[in-house]
Amino acid sequence: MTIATGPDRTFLLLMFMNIWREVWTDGRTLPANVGGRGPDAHDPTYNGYSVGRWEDDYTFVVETTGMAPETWVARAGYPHSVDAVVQERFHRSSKNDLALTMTMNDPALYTRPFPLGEDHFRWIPSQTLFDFTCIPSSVQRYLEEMGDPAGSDPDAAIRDRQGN
Amino acid sequence: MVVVLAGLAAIASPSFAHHGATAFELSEPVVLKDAVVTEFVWINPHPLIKADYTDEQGIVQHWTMEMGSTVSVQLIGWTRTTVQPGDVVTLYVWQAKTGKPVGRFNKVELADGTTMRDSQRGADDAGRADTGLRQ
Repeated sequence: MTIATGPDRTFLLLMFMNIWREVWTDGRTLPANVGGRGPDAHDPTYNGYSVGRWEDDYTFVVETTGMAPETWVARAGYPHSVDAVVQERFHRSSKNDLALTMTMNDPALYTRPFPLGEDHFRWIPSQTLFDFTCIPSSVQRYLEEMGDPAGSDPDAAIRDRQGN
Repeated sequence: MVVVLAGLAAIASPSFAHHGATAFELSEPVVLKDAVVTEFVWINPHPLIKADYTDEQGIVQHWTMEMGSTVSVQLIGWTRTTVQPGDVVTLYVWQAKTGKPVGRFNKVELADGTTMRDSQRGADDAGRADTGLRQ
């Protein structure tokens, strides 16, 4: 991951699938009417809408809402509403170490906020960004030659047992 | 717009494994001695090593194994030519529980004596000792 910091926005750039996330740091609030009707309504998106602020010199806090409700949260696959708010706290614990803790708050579905986990990063000066794109034809080949024989397709297992 | 960049690498964290390993038998690797590489497919989500292994009965098995993403294995020294068609190598693989000749790559012993490992399951115990893996 590379963090690109500008005067009014911070971008989180992920090599995985060339994903970028835009975090507004100009003081705006999270959009209130995502997925609703009316001219001020925002569309739900996969990455949501993010705002960020500095809590102290070493802690950057990002809040995100408006994530498309068909997506899952965390590897456990928690469902969430479009109004869920995920908070990410990026804390630089030492010169080369960054800790990220994440919390989900979704009163529409859950009785209280709950943790989504913690990730740790090490700073790499002059990092080169690698290609990490899953091309559809490559994914198809992977599934045919590796995934399905290893059991990723439950229907294939049934066909095998039936001798098809 | 003036932009300041900071590059970061994620340190080993269970939440970064983008799919699990329950499909593979991690208790003991299958050893394919003197297998012949037929293709090294440098793709994402996973590069694939394809190799022919001749067993004691003289039967040739056609194996396919996945390894960590191009990004993760490049960080530990792999390139798209680390193994090439025709290379005679010994492959260690965590076989799929379906019993098919496919699995997750563990490590390879090259002809020059070098050993190259997987980014995620390259430890001799598949990483069971230090990941809190519940299998």
